[in-house]
Amino acid sequence: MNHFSKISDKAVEIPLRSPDVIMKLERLGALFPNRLSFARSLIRKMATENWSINKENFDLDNKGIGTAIYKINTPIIPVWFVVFADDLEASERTDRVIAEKWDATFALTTKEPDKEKLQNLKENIPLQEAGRCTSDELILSRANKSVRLFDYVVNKLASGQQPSLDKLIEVGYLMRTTAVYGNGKFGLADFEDMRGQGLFTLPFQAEMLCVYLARNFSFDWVEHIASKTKPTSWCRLNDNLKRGLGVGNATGLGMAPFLVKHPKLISNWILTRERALQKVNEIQEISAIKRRQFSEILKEAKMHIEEWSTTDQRQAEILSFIIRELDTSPPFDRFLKMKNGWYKLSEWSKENLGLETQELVNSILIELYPELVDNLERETGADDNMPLVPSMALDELENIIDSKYDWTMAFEKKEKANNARFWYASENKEEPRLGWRFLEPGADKELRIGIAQEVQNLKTALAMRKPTTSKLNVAEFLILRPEFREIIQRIQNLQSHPYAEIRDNLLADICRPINLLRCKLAMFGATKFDPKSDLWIRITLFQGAPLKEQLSHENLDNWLFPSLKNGF
Amino acid sequence: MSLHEVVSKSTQALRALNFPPGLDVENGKNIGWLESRGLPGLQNLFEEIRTPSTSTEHNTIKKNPKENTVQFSGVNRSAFYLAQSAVDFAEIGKGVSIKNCRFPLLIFAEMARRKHLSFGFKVQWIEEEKINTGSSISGNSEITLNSRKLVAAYDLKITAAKDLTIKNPLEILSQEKGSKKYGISCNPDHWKAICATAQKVLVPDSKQSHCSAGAEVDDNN
Repeated sequence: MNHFSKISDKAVEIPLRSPDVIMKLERLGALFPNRLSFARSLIRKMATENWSINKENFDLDNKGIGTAIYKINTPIIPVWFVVFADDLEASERTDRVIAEKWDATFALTTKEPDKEKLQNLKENIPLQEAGRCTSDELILSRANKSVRLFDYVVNKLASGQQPSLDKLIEVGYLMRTTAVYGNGKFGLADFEDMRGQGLFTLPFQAEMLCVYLARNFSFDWVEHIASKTKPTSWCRLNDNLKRGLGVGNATGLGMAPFLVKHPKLISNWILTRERALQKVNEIQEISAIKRRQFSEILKEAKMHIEEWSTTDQRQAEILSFIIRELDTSPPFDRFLKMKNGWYKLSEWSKENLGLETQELVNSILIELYPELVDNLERETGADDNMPLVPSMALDELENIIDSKYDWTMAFEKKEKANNARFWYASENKEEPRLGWRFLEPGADKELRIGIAQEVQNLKTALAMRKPTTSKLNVAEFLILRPEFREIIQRIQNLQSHPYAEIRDNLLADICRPINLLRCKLAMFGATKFDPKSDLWIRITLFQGAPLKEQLSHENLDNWLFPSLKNGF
Repeated sequence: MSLHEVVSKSTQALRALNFPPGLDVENGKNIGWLESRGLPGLQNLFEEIRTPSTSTEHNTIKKNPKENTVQFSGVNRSAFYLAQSAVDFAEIGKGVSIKNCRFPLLIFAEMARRKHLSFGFKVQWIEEEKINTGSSISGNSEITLNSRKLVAAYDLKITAAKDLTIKNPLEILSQEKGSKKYGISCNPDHWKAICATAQKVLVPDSKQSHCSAGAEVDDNN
C-alpha cells in the first residue's frame, strides 16, 4: 500500500481546521503571509482606488538631513506623509523602544502641512513618544538606516553602479522601522474616528501605508544622498532592485500582549485565513492553469527561502528542512488531477511535511484563487466589546469552560515550571518585558496574559461554591467574587470566535513568545523572519511590492514570495 | 488627549488602585465614554484617587423577591465598585436601589454602554436635594442634571425599560462639536495625578529587566 491509497477519491465536505491544531504556539510560529495579509490588501486597495503618491517637498541637505513631504491622493481624502530625516552616528542607533534618536521620523497626517502645521510637526514628531500629536495625525513612526546596506548603496549609486545583488539579498532593506504607532497613542487620531473618515476602515491599514511610504522614502533618500555625493556620476537605483527591497522592522514583545488583549480580532484574522483555505480545499476540479500556477509559485517559494538570511540557528535549520522537503519532490502532481485535489494535497501534507512547509503550501493555495478569497479581507475587523451576560447560570458557564476551554486544563498550574514567567510593562517607555517570576521583582504588577491560569482559577472557584449557592447566576456570583468578571466576560463572549484563544500556557518556562510575534507579523504580510532571540525578531515588509509608479500596472499582485534573483 | 489615552491611562490607574480585573477595564471605558460626551469622568477618577474608597470589601446586596428588587448596602460606596454589578441586576430585570454612593455618572455610563441589549435603562438619583435623571437605549442616551457637583448620589434607582424615547441624545464631542482637533481636555493637575497613579502598575527599570525585552546589547546592524 502506498501513501495515496488511504485518501479517498470522493468529494468531501471540508471542515475548518480545529483551533486545537491552529492555535498552538508552534503552529502560529510557522505561519507565512498570504494574499489576505494586510500589506497585500493595502496594495490592492491603492491600485483599485487609483491612489497616487506625489513628492511635494524634498528639502534635504547633502547629507540627507531635512524634511520631506509626500501627498497621497485617494478618492476619500488626501493624506500627507511627513519625514524628518537625520543622520545618526552608528553608536546612537538602537532598535529598542527605549531609544531616543532615530535616523528618520514620520507622521501620516490628514491636515495639509502648511507652515504652521509643519512647525508643529517638526517640534514633536522627531521626539516620538516624548512629543505630542494631534488628532490630525493618524500614524507616528520612525526608522533607522541599515548600517549593513544604506551607505554601501549610496556609495555604489554615487559612483554610477548598481549595488551587488548578494549584498541586497543579505539584508533586504535600506531602512528598518522600530515602532509604528496608531490608534490614539500620544494624541494621535483614535481608530474609530479614523474609520469614520472612511479611508482606513480596517485595522492596521494606516500603519501599513506608513511603512509602505517609508520604503518609498528610503529609495528617494539613497538616491538624493548619492546625487549630492557625486553629482556628475551618480545613477538611480534600478527599479527591479527597488522592488526587491522592502522595509525592515524590529519587533519585540509588545505584539504578544496585543494578541491576548484583542481575542476577537485575532480570531477574525485567523478565521478569514482558514475560511479562504476551506474554500480552496472545497474545489472539486483543479484547472490546468491553476496546476501550472501552483508549480510556478512553489518554485518562487523555494527561491525566496534560498534568499532568506537568518543568524538564528533554529530558523536556519527549519529553512534547510523546507528546502529539503521541497527538493525531494513531494508527490503534489498526483493529487492535482484528483477530485478535491487541494484537500487531498493538504491532508497528505499534514501527515508528511513539517509545520512550516504545510503552512507555506497553505499560503500558496490561498494565493491561487483571488476570485474566491479576496472578499474575505473585509471580515478582518472586530470590536473589542465583551459584554457580560449576567443572567447566565453558573452551570452553563461551567459547561462552556468544559467544552471550549478544556485546553486550559492540560497542565498543572501549581508546578513552578508552568508559572515561571510573568509579562509586564516597564517604567521605561512602558516597554513590554517578560520576567522570571521566582527570580526577579515585578510579578505583583504582571499583565493579565495567563488566560489558562485564570480559567483554572475560575473553574476551581465555581467547583467550590456551596451547595446552597449552586443555582446562582453570574450577576450573583460576581457579587461574591468580583475578581472573575473579566475572565467570565471573555469566556461568554468568545464562544462564537473559534480562533480567539492561544491554546498554550503563555507563562510556562518553555513558552517562546517569538511564535506570537511571527503569527501577528505574518498577518501583516511580513517575510524573512529572522529571530534574534526568543523575544524579538527582525522581518521585512513590502519586499516585492509594486513601487508607487507601478500601482496602476496589471499583474501587480504577484509578490507572495519575493526573490531578488527572480526579478524582485 | 485622545480617547485611547483617556481609557488606557484610566484603566491603568484603576488597576493601580487594586480594582478587580474587569472593573478596571469597564470603568476605564466608562470614563472615556463620559469624557467624549463632555461629562466629567476624569474628574471622578481624580476624586477617587484623592480620597480612595475606604472600603474595598465586596458589594453586598439585599434581595426582595416579592418586589423583584435588589438593594445595594453599604455607606458611601464608590460607583467605581458598584456600577457594573448594579447594572447587571437591572439588566436581569431587577429594580436596583442604592441608598447612597459616589460618582453616579459612572452608573449612567455603564448602562448607556450596554447598547447591545434590546431594551434600555433609566436611572435617577438625588444630589443637593435635586433630582438628576438619565436614560439610554440602543446606543442613544440623555441626561438631565439639576445638581452641580455630580459626585454624590442619594436614593439612586436603576430600572430596565423597553420602548424608551430619547429626545435629546448626548452628542459625541469628537464628531459633533469640533473638539476633534484638540481631543479631550482635562484639568492638568487631575491628569498629572491620574498618570502618577497609573505609573504604579509599571515595573521599575533595572539591568536585569532591561534584558527581559530580548534585544541584544548590539542591535545596530
